[in-house]
Amino acid sequence: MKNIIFGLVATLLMMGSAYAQSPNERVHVLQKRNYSVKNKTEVSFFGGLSVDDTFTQHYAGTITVDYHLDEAFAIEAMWMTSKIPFVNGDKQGDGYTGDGIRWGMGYTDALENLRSAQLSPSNADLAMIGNFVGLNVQFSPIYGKFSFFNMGLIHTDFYVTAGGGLASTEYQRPDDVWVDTGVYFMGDFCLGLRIFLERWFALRLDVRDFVFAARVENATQTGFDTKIRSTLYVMFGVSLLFGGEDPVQIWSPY
Amino acid sequence: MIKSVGAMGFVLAMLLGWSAQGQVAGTSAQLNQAVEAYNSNDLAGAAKLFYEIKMGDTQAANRAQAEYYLAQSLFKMGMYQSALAFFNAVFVAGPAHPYYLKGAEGLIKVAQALRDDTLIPSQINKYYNSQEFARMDPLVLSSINFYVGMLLYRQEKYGESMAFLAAVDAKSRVYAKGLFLQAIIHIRLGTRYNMARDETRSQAEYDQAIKLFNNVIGLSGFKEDQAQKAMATYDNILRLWQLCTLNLARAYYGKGDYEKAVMYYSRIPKFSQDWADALFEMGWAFFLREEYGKALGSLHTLHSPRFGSLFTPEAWILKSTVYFHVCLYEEAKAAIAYFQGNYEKFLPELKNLVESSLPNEKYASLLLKDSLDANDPMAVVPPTIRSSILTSPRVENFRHFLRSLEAEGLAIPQVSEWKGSRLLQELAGVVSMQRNLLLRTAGGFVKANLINRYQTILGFVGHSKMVQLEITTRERELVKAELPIQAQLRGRLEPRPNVPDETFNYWSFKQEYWQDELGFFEYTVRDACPANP
Repeated sequence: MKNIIFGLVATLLMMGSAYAQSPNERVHVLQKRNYSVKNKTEVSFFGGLSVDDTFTQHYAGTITVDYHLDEAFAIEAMWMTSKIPFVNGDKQGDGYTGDGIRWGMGYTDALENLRSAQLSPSNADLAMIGNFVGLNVQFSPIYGKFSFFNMGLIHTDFYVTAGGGLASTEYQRPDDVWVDTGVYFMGDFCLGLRIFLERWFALRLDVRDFVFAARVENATQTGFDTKIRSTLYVMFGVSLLFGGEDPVQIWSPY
Repeated sequence: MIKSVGAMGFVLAMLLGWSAQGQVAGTSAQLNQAVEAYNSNDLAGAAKLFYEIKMGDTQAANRAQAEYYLAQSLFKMGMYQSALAFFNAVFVAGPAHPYYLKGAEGLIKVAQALRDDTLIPSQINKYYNSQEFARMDPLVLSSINFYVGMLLYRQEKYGESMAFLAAVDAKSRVYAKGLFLQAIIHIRLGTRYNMARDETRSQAEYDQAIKLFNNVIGLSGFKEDQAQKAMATYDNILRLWQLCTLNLARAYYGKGDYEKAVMYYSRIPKFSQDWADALFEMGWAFFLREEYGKALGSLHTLHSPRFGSLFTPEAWILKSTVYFHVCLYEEAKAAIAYFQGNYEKFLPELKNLVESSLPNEKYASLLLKDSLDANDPMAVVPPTIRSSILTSPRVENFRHFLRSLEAEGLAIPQVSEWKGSRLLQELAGVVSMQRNLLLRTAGGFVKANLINRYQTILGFVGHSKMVQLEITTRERELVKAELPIQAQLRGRLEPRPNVPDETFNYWSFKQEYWQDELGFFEYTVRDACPANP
């Protein structure tokens, strides 16, 4: 895709040929991709935050490793974390909030406001994602370029990612005790943009939604509630790309 | 006193890097003083003293020694043209001069400093003495042989040129250049035999050229570390590697192996200085392979705004020829019309210029001045023609030479030690004379190029008329056969080309030139040729 919006703005486009094209011919561009990803391994490091929950706020660090089967498909393994793994929340009672462990998990002011009104949301709404390990399939049907105010071209690809994995979630009861809900399946779906700066280096922007069935104690602690929760993250990352097709050595003998 | 002068002479010899054998320092007090000044880096003072010795000493040996060190002093002061005059005097004096070989070496140093590949090599060639030169440092001799070889190559004395170039030592910095130039000579000979229809000799010359080009590329060892070493060892080898690639393409083109020619043309980096040549020549190669869409695609890049001011008359003739071959006569006529409107129209102006009685130096302003006054005779040269002349690598050498002369002309009167001296007068005269000579040489270069452009366009006018004539004939035949003149009614447009593999992107061209797409164009054309035209 040549991005039309930027393309129109940019004056890089050298409009107008000295020689008009006739109806008896068509001009095509068959261009070798500047940024081929085929057979490349991509390691990405993201920082992200959740953007749509009323009561919870996540900050997450994420590492993904993608293997690009071809220009369009990749398999992706990911680990996302907001909490130091393998530390159980329910052992941290007596008012201890576990800030050092749960470095990226917290509640919003909305929860405080609600509680000050002697109200309480469902525990399921308070469940937060501590760690997630997943496997995804990535599909990149769109490869494009932007011209940015005649300063140069930016090559990008857009992708969708879908998959799932195992997540651990936790929530904090009104009595401040953290409850670990255990490990269970979580699905994720993502729309993303990859901006290539070098053949080995790219920036990524992911909008990633995690869907899970939060199974928590009910308000009276006499049973369990299950609620489908979805948490949307916006993530910014950098990618390092290894392997793949060597760039064509045009003339250089080495 | 004699002892101390001898010691001073030894120090001088060491500083200059020449062996002590056969060198006896001057014995006069003035020579002693001059040497002392030279050693203490008082070069202006030394030059003045050496000049006085050269002009007035009664002993010939002293005069000879002073002459050489005068040149050396001036060279060290960066007054290359002045140094050249005295190195030249030493050199043309012949083997009888004790510093004859050093004089030749000095000339080469000046040639390198001034980037002069014409005047000094010509002088060396004139007084070349193979017996005496055999005693010279092989690396210095290699430089001399290269310069002389290049001069003879320009004079189209290929046999003699090859002899000099083949004598360049493999350890010399100009070794790769020597190999390259030999290969170019083989290409020229291959073309010459080809035109004489001597297929066997033509092929042999091209094969030899290919071997030599590969030898130059092979100096890289095809490994980065060895390539880096080669870059440190040989002059300008990075540029030579690219030129070898371009010329490998030409050699295969000459042999008729268009597939390999296209392969090497494609290796020329985009936007490099050779890219336009590669695109144009690749267009011919595609045409000869009957890959008309690709031929037009190459020309499409060449005719993009990127190359807006490029002098490419032949490209329009090629374009019209391609269209003619696919029976798109209107398009062929449009390409010819473009040629006529943008090149043929220059002919009257060019004719006036090349046939005028202007002295050569009047032409030099085109090359040496960045902007031309309206009353300058070169101001009428069309910008396309001017820029085509200015792209020659020799232009920068001329400019460098002129800048150097002008700087030297200004510096000479500023040397306080020389005020009112005969030396100052002589050097000012030397620089002024050399500047005039350079203007004549540069002007001659411009005039030769204008003649070349004039003849090139004139030649293609003939081609364009032939194509026009053929088109008229074909159109008559269409009418006779009661076939439509309009190509749209005679055939179908070919589908878009296949994408080779997923690492390629397909974009359709919508009259927008994206810089990164240049070089990737391909046409599909209507198959408008009737079964029996």
